[in-house]
Amino acid sequence: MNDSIVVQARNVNFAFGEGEVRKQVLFDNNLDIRRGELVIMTGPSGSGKTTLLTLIGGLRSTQEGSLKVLGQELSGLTDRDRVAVRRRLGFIFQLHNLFDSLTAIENVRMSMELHPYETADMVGRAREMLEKLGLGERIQYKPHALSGGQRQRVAIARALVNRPALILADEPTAALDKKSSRDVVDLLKALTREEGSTILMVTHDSRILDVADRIVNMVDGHIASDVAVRESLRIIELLKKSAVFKQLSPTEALNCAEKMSKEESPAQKVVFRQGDVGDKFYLIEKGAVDVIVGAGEAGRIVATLQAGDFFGEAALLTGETRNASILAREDCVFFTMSKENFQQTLASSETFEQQFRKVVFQRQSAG
Amino acid sequence: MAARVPLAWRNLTFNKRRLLVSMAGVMFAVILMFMELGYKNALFDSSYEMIRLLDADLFLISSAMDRTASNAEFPRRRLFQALENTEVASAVPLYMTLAGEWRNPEDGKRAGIRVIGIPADESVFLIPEIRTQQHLLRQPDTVLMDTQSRRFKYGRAEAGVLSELAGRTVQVAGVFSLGPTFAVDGTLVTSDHNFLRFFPGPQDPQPKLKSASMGLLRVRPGADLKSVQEALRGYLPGDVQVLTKPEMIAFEKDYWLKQSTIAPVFNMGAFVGFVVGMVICYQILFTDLSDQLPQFATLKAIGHSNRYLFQVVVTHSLFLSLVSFFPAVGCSYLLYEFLSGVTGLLMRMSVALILMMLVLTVAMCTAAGSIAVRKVLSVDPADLFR
Repeated sequence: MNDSIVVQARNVNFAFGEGEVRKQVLFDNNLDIRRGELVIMTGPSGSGKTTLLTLIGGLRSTQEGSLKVLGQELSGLTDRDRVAVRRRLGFIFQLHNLFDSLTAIENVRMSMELHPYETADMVGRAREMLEKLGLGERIQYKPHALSGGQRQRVAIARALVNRPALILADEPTAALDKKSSRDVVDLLKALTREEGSTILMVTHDSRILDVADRIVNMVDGHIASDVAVRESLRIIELLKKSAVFKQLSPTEALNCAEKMSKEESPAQKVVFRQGDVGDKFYLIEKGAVDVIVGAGEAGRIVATLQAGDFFGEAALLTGETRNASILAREDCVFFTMSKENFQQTLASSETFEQQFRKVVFQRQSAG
Repeated sequence: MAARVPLAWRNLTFNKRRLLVSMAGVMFAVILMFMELGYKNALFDSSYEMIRLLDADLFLISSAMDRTASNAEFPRRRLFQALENTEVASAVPLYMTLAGEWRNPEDGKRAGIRVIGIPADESVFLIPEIRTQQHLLRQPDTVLMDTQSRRFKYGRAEAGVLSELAGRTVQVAGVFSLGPTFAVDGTLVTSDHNFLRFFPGPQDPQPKLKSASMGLLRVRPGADLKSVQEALRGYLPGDVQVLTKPEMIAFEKDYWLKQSTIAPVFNMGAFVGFVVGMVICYQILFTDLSDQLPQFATLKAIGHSNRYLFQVVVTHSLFLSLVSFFPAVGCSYLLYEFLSGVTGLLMRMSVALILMMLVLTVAMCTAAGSIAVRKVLSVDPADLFR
């Protein structure tokens, strides 16, 4: 298994109860989370996202499928071994769950007692963590003397203080106001970035979706979409700059972005040749390509396309083979969309299709 | 390994009001147990207090006697027979009835009282007031009265009080302090001659003290008590038993422990106190833990073992038992003092009793803790995510 994959789920099924009352809540879920990613899992309640989170957190025994967390296969583990896995994770809950009887620093230390620290190190580290979370003045305060946001920050300190490679958070901002939510999430993100930690966060809070690198949407026990948000935002940005796509509504643009995947091409590589069957539509994120008509010596460059330009649409629109070859001029990054998705996207908006055909027609005539 | 966060102690002391209520609950149970066991001990201690204060190395009592508060007697001749052993220095008879009819001079009501007859010239009691005043008993119809006799029953115990005993006018010549038992509410000491005047015996035409309740033997200095006892047992008839003082005390205790129904009543009382304390303690801990279930579930989620949680809760209950125990000892001590004063029973707070109570209190609370902890152990950390 690739070291950079922190969570890998393969065909994970899960059911509560047995026999007549058996109710399956997870169906055939696959998920990869890479090191350093901040993944937000959303979905209607009852969609199984929390169940999946508890499975990843080693809080429930797996039933079917394979689930690897931090390199450890969880299926078939004893309860004891699952506890050992849990000690390597950081947990943040909807409620802070701090002991009212303990001060902030003592609450943080409760999670450090599981690890072999020296007392001085322990206190120093707990203090440092609270300071980073802006609670340096309040380390000796008990929870009732702290605000909701401060309490949740103590809980975050408790989760982060052991520098876990993976942090699981369940609605960490549900009990907080807008300002506190934002602070808490920004701090969480900044601190984990610093440590290179990975976060999987279940949330309904639309105010904080923008911090996500990826958004996994679950519906009826299945991962319905798994979107790299950073990429989607970049795609939408590119689409907005293009004459053809700028008419798309934000929703249409997002739909479009969600259907695209990233591809890379080194300099001097032929992306496709004239006469190939058209299977994909390309949007250039980075780099430049030459459009070449004719083969070998007879070939001539008819155009050079830059970042933000697109190509490969003609064969998809007409159903004919490629009418030109594409050669990467330099190292390129493309966002591509399959033929089916491309046609669906066109069909989804009449005005968009007309607009698109018009632009493409102009380009053809020019060529 | 780093110093641990004292979670159990923090949880116990965080809410001061709740702590006080909890302590009051546990203290109630501890004091209840102290009272029951104190009464039980008073029962034992009081029952042999008189024996302890008798000046004797060996005791002769009737074989039919099962305790000193019963009225079995033996032929006085046995005392002369005992003196045949050259190691026996003296043999003094002691006469006793529990049913002397005493008139309370304050209200005229009559009540049974213990009357002990002793030879006025012999050393019988170790109680100084008796030793210095027993010569007064040579006067006819005089008695010495125990000041701890129940006043409501017998009236004031004072030198000079005039009253009636067994139908005869009697004067209290002096007082002493002995104390009542569960079977005896008051005591009079008189001379053997006076005893005979008060209790001539129904069918005795020539009143003579033919039988005694107890014989007090003293052995010569340097004599071996055990071998004297063996020798006496060897030749005295089977209607008497020969006991040393510790054996007499054990004999008395044994009766109250095994024969009497009173000891089990107090044991049951102490047991009920224990159970009540356990229930109170369980309730306290259960409420505490219920309020903190998400916190404990969180500890479990982040990888703390059930063993650790068990430790936290049981330590919590242990601390609760300790912080409640010492004030409870103080309160019990004051109550003992008060009750001793009121009842005259020997309510003694001995080190052995305190240690036993400490063990019981700790057991009570930790047992409750280990029952209450099951709620914490069974909590599913997965339920924190919902």
